[in-house]
This record gives sequence, structure tokens and C-alpha cells, in this order.
Amino acid sequence: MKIANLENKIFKNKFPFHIIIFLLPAVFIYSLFMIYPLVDTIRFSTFYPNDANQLEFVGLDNYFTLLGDSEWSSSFWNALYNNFILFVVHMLVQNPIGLLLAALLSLPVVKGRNFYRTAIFMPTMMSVVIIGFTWQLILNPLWGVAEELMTYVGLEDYFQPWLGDDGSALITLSLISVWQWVGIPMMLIYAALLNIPEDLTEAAEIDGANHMQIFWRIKLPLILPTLGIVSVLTFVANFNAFDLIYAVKGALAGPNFSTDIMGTFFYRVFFGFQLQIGDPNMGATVATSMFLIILLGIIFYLYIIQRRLHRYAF
Amino acid sequence: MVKASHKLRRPLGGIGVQIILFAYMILALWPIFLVISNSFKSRKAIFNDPMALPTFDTFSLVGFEKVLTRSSFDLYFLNSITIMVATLAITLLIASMAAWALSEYKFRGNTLLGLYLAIGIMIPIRLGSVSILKLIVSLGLTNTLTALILVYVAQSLPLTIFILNEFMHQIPKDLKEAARCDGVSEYRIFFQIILPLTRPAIATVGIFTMVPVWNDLWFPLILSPGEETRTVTLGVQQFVGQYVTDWNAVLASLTLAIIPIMIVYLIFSRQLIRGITSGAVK
Amino acid sequence: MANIKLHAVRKSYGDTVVIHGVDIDIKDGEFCVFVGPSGCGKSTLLRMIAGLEEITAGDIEIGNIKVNDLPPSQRGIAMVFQSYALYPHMNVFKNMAFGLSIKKIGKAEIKQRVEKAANILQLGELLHRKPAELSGGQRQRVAIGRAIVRDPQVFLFDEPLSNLDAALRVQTRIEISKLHQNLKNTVVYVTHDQVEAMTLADKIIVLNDGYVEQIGKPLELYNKPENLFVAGFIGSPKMNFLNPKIYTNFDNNIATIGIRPEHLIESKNADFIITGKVDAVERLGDVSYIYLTSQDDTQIIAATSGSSDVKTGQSVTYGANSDKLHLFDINGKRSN
Repeated sequence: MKIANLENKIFKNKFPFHIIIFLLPAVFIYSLFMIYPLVDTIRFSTFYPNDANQLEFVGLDNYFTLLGDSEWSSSFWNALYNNFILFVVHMLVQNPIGLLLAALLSLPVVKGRNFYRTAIFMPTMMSVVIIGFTWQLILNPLWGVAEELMTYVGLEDYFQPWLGDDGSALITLSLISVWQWVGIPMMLIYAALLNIPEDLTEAAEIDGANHMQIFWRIKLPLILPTLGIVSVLTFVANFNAFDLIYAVKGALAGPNFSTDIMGTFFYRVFFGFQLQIGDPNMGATVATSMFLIILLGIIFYLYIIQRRLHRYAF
Repeated sequence: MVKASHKLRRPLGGIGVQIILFAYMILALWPIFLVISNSFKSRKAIFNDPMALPTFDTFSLVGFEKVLTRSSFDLYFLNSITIMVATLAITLLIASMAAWALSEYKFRGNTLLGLYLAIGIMIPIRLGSVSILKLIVSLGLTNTLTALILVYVAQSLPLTIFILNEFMHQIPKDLKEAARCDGVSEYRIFFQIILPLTRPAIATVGIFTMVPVWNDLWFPLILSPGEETRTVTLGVQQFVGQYVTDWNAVLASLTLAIIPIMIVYLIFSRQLIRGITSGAVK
Repeated sequence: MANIKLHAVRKSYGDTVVIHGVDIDIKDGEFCVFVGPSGCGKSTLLRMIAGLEEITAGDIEIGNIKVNDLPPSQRGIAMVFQSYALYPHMNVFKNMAFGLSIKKIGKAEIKQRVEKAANILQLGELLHRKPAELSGGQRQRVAIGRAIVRDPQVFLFDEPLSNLDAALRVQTRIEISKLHQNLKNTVVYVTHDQVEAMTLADKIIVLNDGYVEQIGKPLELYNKPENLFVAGFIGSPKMNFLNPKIYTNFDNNIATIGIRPEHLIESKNADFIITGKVDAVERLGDVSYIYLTSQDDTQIIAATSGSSDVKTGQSVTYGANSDKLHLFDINGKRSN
């Protein structure tokens, strides 16, 4: 009798209120403050105030303005191009350095690897704002720290106020960002390398492979999925970046917009700057463009890259 | 597994590897160290010899005095801590409830809901800012900490649910089934059996979601830029922008922002690194 | 082909000594099994022969060449790992060819050698599959194939059967034995399973706590275990150990009497008599194991014929002839 009751309680058609109660708070807050704003932003990008200052559905007009109007489109393409440079620098500098550090850390001969790991990851924990200011001070010719350091190695003639120069500001900022975030690829790759059973490297050793061959022919192919994830994380983070440029260069992303990326462009359009007033609808249009770019990146990763990478269970 | 270093395996560059790692470590720590060390020096000493450590002659706390008198750093700290604690508590509670529901109960749309909740892992919440601001305005929450807390909870939920979901799959079935056979209600199973068991995962999750919250500049800037609700990160940004030529003050404000996060990191680095290396984020 | 000599080989991690000065001589073509409980140092010893583990002191020679400082690949060995250690991203062919391609051997020769090994192990059909697509037994054969392709002087096996189910284990055991008869290479084989050791070995080396307890042919170990450890380790069910104090006809220096369960017979007229009460009977068909408590409260197992009608609770008398008794002194050393 008792058992039958219990079964009734669990299995019979009692409406599962508890499931709803468990899910409701999270789904509600997440939907209201994350999903709804994303969807509403997309919707909002298809509206524009008319002469009577009333919002009016304009279809894709805002996008035509963004890409067609010469002033808008030059800013847009400039920001996108700069953003792309930022991403390329991360892919070519941050991730290879992360891979190298992870590979070195995972070597059995290294002593004190926890110590190195903790130290190298430290900048990653800091606020981008702090890191930006720190490097701004270091590279400031007034203080002369960078110049003095270069004097030690006889390179003082090559010192430039890199952050102030059109041609080098973006690359310099990208490298500062690389310096800060290299801990992430390092950690993820390090974790993947640790995951490779020691038997495999020993088998390769018996097969006569040296350290380099073991790395290139055994370890690297096995961590490709992690490299894929690192790349897509880098992509999303870069096309969503804002703080560093804003902290170091302000909303105008100077000099001469040479460090303007999608995040700062979005901010200026949305909130306005100097004499121009903010434009939420065009802001939503820029945000939606960023959303589409990031979405394209993720889709490219999921359907083109990830499908070719095998994840091996050890 | 402990293994003695192997004579035969030691590459020629065993020392070389150590040197490269050491050099990179210096590169990673030196800028932070430079800021902290100079923040304790007089203006003259900062410029005369930036590399030198503060000495008895050059030691000065003038920068910190300026920061503390000209801005309300104590308030900023209080704000940041309030936001972080509230966000962490709410996120952990409702995320573990949701993760439990997703991992434990089979219901129609379970997988779909899981995917829906995972969107936010990849898509940055920042892209919805235009509407978030409208929403916050219409709720009358501008320039409140509540606005930031709500947004940060929404931002932290997806990854937290994801990590906790993986974790809850590992909780042995017998535990909850034994409880069910005793006729314990589903709520009590969750609050008295499951929630205490998730404690190990909570440290990892806490660090993963809280560091971005503490460091965020964007939402304080657009939702709560007022003096009363300013966070440390925004406070430093504004302060440095305002006193950019006062090096003592700038260095001191940076140091004030660096030290707490550094201490927290050094305390929790073990959990954080374990979290990453055990594959909590994949 | 090569012999292997270990001379005073020691291994320690800091202050912890895991191998205490071991001397072993393995003849060319011999199938030598290291057996012992887990943690006895047998795998460490094998890994030292392979060159995966540094030698703290002593010398290892393979084919009369001192290999202490040679890397694994130059020792003329091939190893089959417990986990098989197949490269998961390479197909069977590439797994087997990897070592050869590192040696920069020509494509045609690699192909010919891999196919030859694949034929021996009936892997022909599987050459293009990845390890994940193979069954446990197939993976095991690929691991052996990878070793054969290297054409080594010495095969090293590290518990190769422990990941297989019982039926496959027996089958593979026989295959490994046949393989050795055909190839005639020297083999060093590590296992914790004394049945594997008894069935495969030309020579068994029993290890315990980093010491060699006994070296000998399988039946020597069974018939004349040199000490208590070997006596207890070889043979299943375990040898019974009795205290000689309650028996009158033993020297004072005898501390333990050993008698194998299968040597106990239901007889009151034997040289040595045990009486006791039956606690349990396990009937396996061909044989029945009688668990009894003897008059001095020792737990005894007797293996009797399957047709025995002994019942639980019954009082029984078992005996053994004195030539079946193993006598050990106070240090656990054999003294008969």
C-alpha cells in the first residue's frame, strides 16, 4: 500500500511543479536580461525615429545606412578592419606563445611549474582597465621606463611613443592585450596536454621519436580540438572587446580612429561623443552586426572546423 | 604520478626551458610589480629612478592620501563587493537549481532548454546593451547596484549552469534514490542532499564568473555611472582619466585596485587552476 | 636475438628504495616472467630494462652491451603496454609504421614489414581503422603488431592481458605463447597473475617489495618454493600454512609447515594428519574445495575430488605424505 503510494507520487501523472520551480528563477532572469535584450536589439535595429520623433519600422534601412552612407560605412569598415587586425595578432602571437608556454610547462623536467603557472596567469585576473593604464605608464616617454629598458639591450634608438602613433597604436594595444590574456590559451592547452596519457609518449619514445617529434606528431594532433576552442574563444573575445581601447584611448579610439574597434564604435554610436548625440537605433544596428559577425565565427567553427577535429577519449 | 627526472629524457635544453619560463614569468609580473613599487615613492623618485625599489628616503604615501581624499575608494570597494557577493549568491542558488532540474529530470524539451541556456556561454551579453539600458530605465533601476546585479546574474548563469550540470551528473544515483524511497520531497532532496554536495564545484564556478564581474567596465559605465554606485574598475578608470598627470595618485589608485584581486587570486589560484585543468571549461 | 643481464640493479626515488640490488640473467630466446603482487617493483624493473626509468645503481646489459645510458629506441627492445598505448589519431597501419617512419625507412619497406606483421596477427582487414573502432582484443593485437614490426631483439610486455575479459585472456595467452615459439625472441613479461606466469614462462622471477624472492622454472617454484612468500604466491588455492608446535615429529627449527590443498587426501593413515570441522564446501564439479578449521584453529583448504560427499559441519580428517610437505625455518626459508 505504502509502496503503491510512493509510486503514484513519482510516476503517475502528477504535474511536475517542482521542475518548474527549480527552473523558473534562472530561466526568467536569463531570458529577461540576456535573451530578450539580444532579440529586442535585433528588432530595434529595424526601427528609426521619423520626423515627428516617433519610432517607425524601416526594415533594413539602418543597415543600408551603416554600409551605404559613406561616413557611416568608412567608420564601420575601419572598426571591422582594426578588429580583424586585433584578432590576427592574437592568433599569431597570443596563441602560439600560449602553446609554447603550455608545452614547456608540461615537460617532465620543469621544476616549480605550479609557481610559473600561477605567476604567468596573474595578469589575466586583473581588470583590463588596470592593465591598460599600467602599460600606458610604462610606454609613456615622460616616464621613460620602456626607453630605459631598451637602453640596457642597446635598442634605445628604436624607442617610439608607440601608443601615440597612428601606425603602431593598434598593434601596441593588441600586444598589451596578448600580454594580458596569454594565460587562457596556456591553461587550456596545458590541461589538454596533461590529459594525454604518459603511455603514449613513452610508446613514441620507444618507437624512437625525440621530444620534437613527440610534440609535433603525437601531442599536437591530439590537442587540436583544444586549439580549435581556443581560437573560437579568442574570436568571440576580440570581436566583443572594448575595455582596453576605451581605457587607454577613450571613446574616440585615437589617434585618428586608428585603434577603433567594433566595441568602441558601438559605444560611440550608442552613447554619442563630443557633439554628436547618441543614436540607440543605429547602436542596435551596430550591435546586431557584431552579433552576426560573432555568430558567423561560431558557425564557421562548429560546422567547418570542429567537424574535422576528432576528440579522443583516453 | 611522481617520477624522478630521467637522465635519458632530459633534453639538452632542460636549463633552457627553465630560463624561458622564468623570463616569461618576469615579463608577466614585472609591469604589475613596477606599478606597485612606484606607488610607494615620492614623485621625484618615481621619475628619477623608476626601477628602484622605494627606500627610506624615497618612501611616500602621498599618492594614497590623494586617492583616498579625492575619491571615495572605500565606497567603490563596498559597491564592488556588494555586487560580487549578491551576484555570486543568487547565481549559485538559481543556477544549481536549474542545473539540477536539467540533469535529474527527464521532461520534454530538456535538451532544447539546455541548449537555450547555453547560448549565453558564447554570445556576449554586451551585444544586448541597447535594450538592457531601455529595460533598466523602464524598471527605474538606473544608477542602482540592483541593475548591475541582475545583469551580472544573467551573464554568469549560462556557464555556471553548464559547469554544475556536468558536476551533478557525477553525483551517485543511489543517494537520491535512497532518499526518494524514504519519501523525501524533491525540494528537500535538492536543498539537503544535492546542494551541499556541489560545494567543491562552487569554488571553481565562483572564480570563473566573479572575476569578469569584478573587472567589468562596460555595464557600470552604461548602467550605473553615478558616483554613488561606482565600482572599483569604473572608479579607477574615471580617477585616472581625471588626474592623469598626477603620477602618485594614478599609481596609488592602480595599486589599490591590484592588491585585493591579487590576494584573492593567490588564495584561490589552486581551485581556479584545478577547475581549468580538470576540464570544467570546454 | 639477445640475452639480458641485470647486475646489482637498484632504483630509488629519493629515500624510498623500490628495487634493492637485483641480479637477473635471462638467456637468449627465453620467455621470462616477472611476477609478484602489485607494488612489488616488477613494472619498474621492466621500465628500467626498456629505458623509461633511470637506473639508480647497477648495470643492465642487452645482447652483452651495457645499455644504462642508451635511450629506449637504441636498446633493441619493443614494448607492449598495459593500456596498449595506441596512438588514437593514427589508423592501425600508421600506428605500426610510426617507429619505422621515425627511422626514415623507405615507404615500400615499411609497407612490406607492416603487412607481414599484420598477417601474423590477422590484422589485415583492420589496417585502416582507428584504435577507437577496434575491440579490446584487436587493440591488443595491434599493440603486439607494433612491437613485431620493430623486429626487436627483446619483447617487453607490461601486464598485456589485464584489460581483457577472462575468455579472451586465455586465448591471447595461447597466441602470445605461439608467437614466441615462432619468433624465438627473448621476452620479458610482467604480470601479477601467477596462472599467466606458470603457463607462459620458461623462467619465472618472483618479486616482492623490490627483492627477488626466487628464480626458477614454473614447476620448480611449485614443487620447491624457496621461502614462505613464493610458497604462498604460487599455486591456487593458496598453500596451507600450519604451526608445527602441536605436532611432535618436527625439528625445533621448523617454524611453519606448508601443504598444498591438492596434496591433502582423505586418509587417516598418512604421514601427517589434520583433523577439523568443515566450515564450507565449494563444489566446482571436477573438484571440491573443503574449507575447514583445524584442531589448532587454523583455516585450511583441501581440494578433493568432485565426488566427495563431505558436508558443512562434519568432522573430517585429512592427511598428506611427508614428501608433499614444505618446511620453513624461522626466517621463512625452506629447510627440506
